[in-house]
Amino acid sequence: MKKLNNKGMTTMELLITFAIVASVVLALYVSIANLRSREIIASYKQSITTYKDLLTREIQNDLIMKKLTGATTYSNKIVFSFSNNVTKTLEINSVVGGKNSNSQACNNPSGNINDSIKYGGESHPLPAVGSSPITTTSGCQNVNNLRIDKDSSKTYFRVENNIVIIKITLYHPDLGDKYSINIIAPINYSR
Amino acid sequence: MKKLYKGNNKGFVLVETLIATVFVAAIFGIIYINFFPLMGEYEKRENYDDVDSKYGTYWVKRFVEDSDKFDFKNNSTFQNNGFLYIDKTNFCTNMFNNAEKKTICTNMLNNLKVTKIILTNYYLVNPHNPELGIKSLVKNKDSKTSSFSEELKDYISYLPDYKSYKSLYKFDYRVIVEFERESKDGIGNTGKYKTFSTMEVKK
Repeated sequence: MKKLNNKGMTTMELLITFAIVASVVLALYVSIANLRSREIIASYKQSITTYKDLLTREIQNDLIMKKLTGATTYSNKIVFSFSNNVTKTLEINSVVGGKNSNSQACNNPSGNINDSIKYGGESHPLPAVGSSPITTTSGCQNVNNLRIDKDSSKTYFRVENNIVIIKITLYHPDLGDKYSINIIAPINYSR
Repeated sequence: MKKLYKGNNKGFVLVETLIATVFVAAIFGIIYINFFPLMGEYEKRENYDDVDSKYGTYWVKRFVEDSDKFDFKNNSTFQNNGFLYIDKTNFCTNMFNNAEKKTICTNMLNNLKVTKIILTNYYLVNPHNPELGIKSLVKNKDSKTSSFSEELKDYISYLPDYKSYKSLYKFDYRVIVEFERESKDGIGNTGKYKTFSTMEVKK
């Protein structure tokens, strides 16, 4: 009859095996946690890019196709005039004020607050990409991590040398301000 | 009675298992090292043909099409090299005699953060002579492309060959634009980066 090896493993062999398996699991856990974090940031980036692309396209299409004939700027809005005598307003609604605001963290938020951009009467709230509880004028609120930033030395809208310059800085603590809205177009440009 | 086959039932010793583990780990390491640059490549391509560069390139294309001075057929550098590589300061002077348009062009390029402009044929690899065309020149490290930045060369290499003399809508030429932008990261450090875009030109 065939004689099987029934000796089994020694304690030392078992311990070494457990140590190897534990170290592999630990390394995998760290890698997967890191990848999960990167995946979340990538999804935030995707949401912000989509928001920026769609809004930029809507505004730029009007500026190019309807031919921009004039622009009047205010602190938080700009009114475009087009060749067909139609006007459209682009307006900023910044609640907290981005990274330079003296916002205080708080506990037990009672609601959600989000910045938005309104164009042609239609409001476009910033995409929800994580939030933090912050003390606002309405008390402790969950504020979207993506905010419209306002540097006191800069403005959102300028008209210089017959050129409209729009820079709406969208700031996110993990992504910075790379995905801001930048629109530049000449006024009354014809062939 | 038929004799039973007596197999080797000893199994692996610890050292054999460890050696096998090291081999497997080495293979995984090699795979990781080969895949890692692909992540960098993906991040680089984020700066190709983004929405800001695309609309910026649209205005450069408009200035070429509206030019009262420049003609592809009469430009000797374009005819000799197959492309024209201009920086933003010379571009508007090359395009316009009209002072008003020249000013608009200059102000637009400054605000758009344009740094370099390439005017070339619609094709990037010549359909009848694959050695010609700006993509082939970059690939062959031709001296005519030595002043291009490495990022610009990467972008041209990334673009399709566009192996035909005209586009579907009869565009004969193409503009490739390099922009230099800056942004702040999450902790406020400012960094500069280049973005690129291309568009067809009808002239």
